Amino acid sequence: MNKSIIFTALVLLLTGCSDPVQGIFYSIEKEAKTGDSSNALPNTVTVLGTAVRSAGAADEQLFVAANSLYRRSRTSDWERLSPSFPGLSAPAVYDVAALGSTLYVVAGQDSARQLFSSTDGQLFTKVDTGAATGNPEGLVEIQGDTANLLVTWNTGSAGFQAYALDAGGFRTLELLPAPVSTPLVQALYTGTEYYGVNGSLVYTGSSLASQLTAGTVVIGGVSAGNLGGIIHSSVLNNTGTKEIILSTNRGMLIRRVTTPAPGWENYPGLSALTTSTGNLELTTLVEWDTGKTPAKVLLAGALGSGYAEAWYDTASSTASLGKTGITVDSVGFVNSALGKKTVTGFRLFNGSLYAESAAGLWKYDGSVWNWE
Amino acid sequence: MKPFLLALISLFAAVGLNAQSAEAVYESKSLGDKVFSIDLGIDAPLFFQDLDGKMVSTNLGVGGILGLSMEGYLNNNYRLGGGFKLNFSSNPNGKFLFNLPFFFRNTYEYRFYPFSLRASMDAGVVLVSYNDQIKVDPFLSPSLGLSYNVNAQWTAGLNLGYWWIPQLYLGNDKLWPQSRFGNFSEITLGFTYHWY
Repeated sequence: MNKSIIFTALVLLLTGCSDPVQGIFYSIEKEAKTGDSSNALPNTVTVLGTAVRSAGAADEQLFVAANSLYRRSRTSDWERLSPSFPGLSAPAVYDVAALGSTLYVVAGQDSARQLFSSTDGQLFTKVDTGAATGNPEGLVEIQGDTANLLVTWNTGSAGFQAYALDAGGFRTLELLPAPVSTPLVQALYTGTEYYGVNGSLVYTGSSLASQLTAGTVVIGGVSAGNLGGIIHSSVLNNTGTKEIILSTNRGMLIRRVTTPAPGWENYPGLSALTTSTGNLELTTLVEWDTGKTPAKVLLAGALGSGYAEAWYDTASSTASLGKTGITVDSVGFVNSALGKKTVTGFRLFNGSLYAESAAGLWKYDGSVWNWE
Repeated sequence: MKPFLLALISLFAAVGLNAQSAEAVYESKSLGDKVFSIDLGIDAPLFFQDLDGKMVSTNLGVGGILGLSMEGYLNNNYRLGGGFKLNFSSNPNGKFLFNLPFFFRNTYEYRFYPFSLRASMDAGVVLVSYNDQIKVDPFLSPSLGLSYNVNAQWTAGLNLGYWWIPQLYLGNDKLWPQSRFGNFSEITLGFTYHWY
């Protein structure tokens, strides 16, 4: 009896271990101290939004979770703000975005939401939104455009409306065809053209003063609709020529090129992100130049409930899923601490990559994801 | 006055005899005599070493350690046994590394009443746990201890130990470069019970 207990314990001891994800001592050695030493950030709630407010050397990173606003500078620790909103005695914050040094938030009380702005993150004033009816839904920063911001507005039965916001004020941005049933979630500007993505459609237009129109994305003569459509996932490539990178529902990354002729093509070296169990459908993307040699660009993407990454080698123009030292499991999740968290967005700040997730904010040092 | 002196002399004689018998028992060990030890103290992570021999910081703070072991004497100086220990230390983000070694112990003991000096070598396996990951690694730990003989049953003393944990990812091409040799030290107070 005793021998069998000892044998069972020994078997459990030697076999009952988790699959190796990273070297344990290695990950301890590499783990950097996070910015949240006072543990001010909530780690178990969904991040509703992040922003970076430009204030010269005093740039600030902001974070919304649990209906509260948190802030830190490049050198300071996180702190929870106690902002003041006119007319709101018990405000809840839903989203944050920055336009230069001005901060915008969607905040409200009970079911009514309003749009506010501030230059210090403490004292907010209501933005004049004219005749807009309904509730602001979210704030969309435009990659490549530091002068404009988009606000999505839920009008109820009339669908979603988009507004453009700049230093001069708040104005309607027409999206065609109307009505729009899904709000814009990402937007970017190449210098000549605006792009907006709302989950299945790609809107384009040359000016926010006129309109953005949903068009058909064709790759090699095949409509993206036949490839499963576009999912709300886009990134503006800034490392080479400016280009738009989108992901399709068939696990493909495609990009918009202007030469030799304007059109869409499969992302070179990475025509499909597939694993033994199927395609990887990335719901949000970020491009991050690690700044290390050899030059590699990380295309980090969020799966439905996990995280995947592809590394693009700029010298050879080839990409690969995962990289040395980072393993990917059978469904494509990166085996890291962040690997199976629901990632809702990415943010770059102070040279580091951050992931917004349903389980707090995470920071990447190029090999290890750490909780902020 | 006389009865008091007699009582005092009797007391010293008794203490002397007791000490003499404790010394006799303490100095003479034979096959079958056993010891049970409890060690409590601090764990000081020293460094990690990669496969190229480069030493890097462990990024860990000073932690705690607890150990239990049992040994039996083979002759007057050698004893053989085994036990387990648990050490824990945290990184700057407040996450804990736990090492739980199970080991066989071989000890040589030199006694010079009321003290004894021992040199031990522990060898076995260690369960390394950090951040939802667990791995079993080899474990080797030489140690030295100086003890004071409190009475015939108990000794108490100070131990200094070194832990060497080769964490090798054999057969895993991706993780092999992340293999490290863990080096830790321990300083503990040891309490040992002898029975015969």
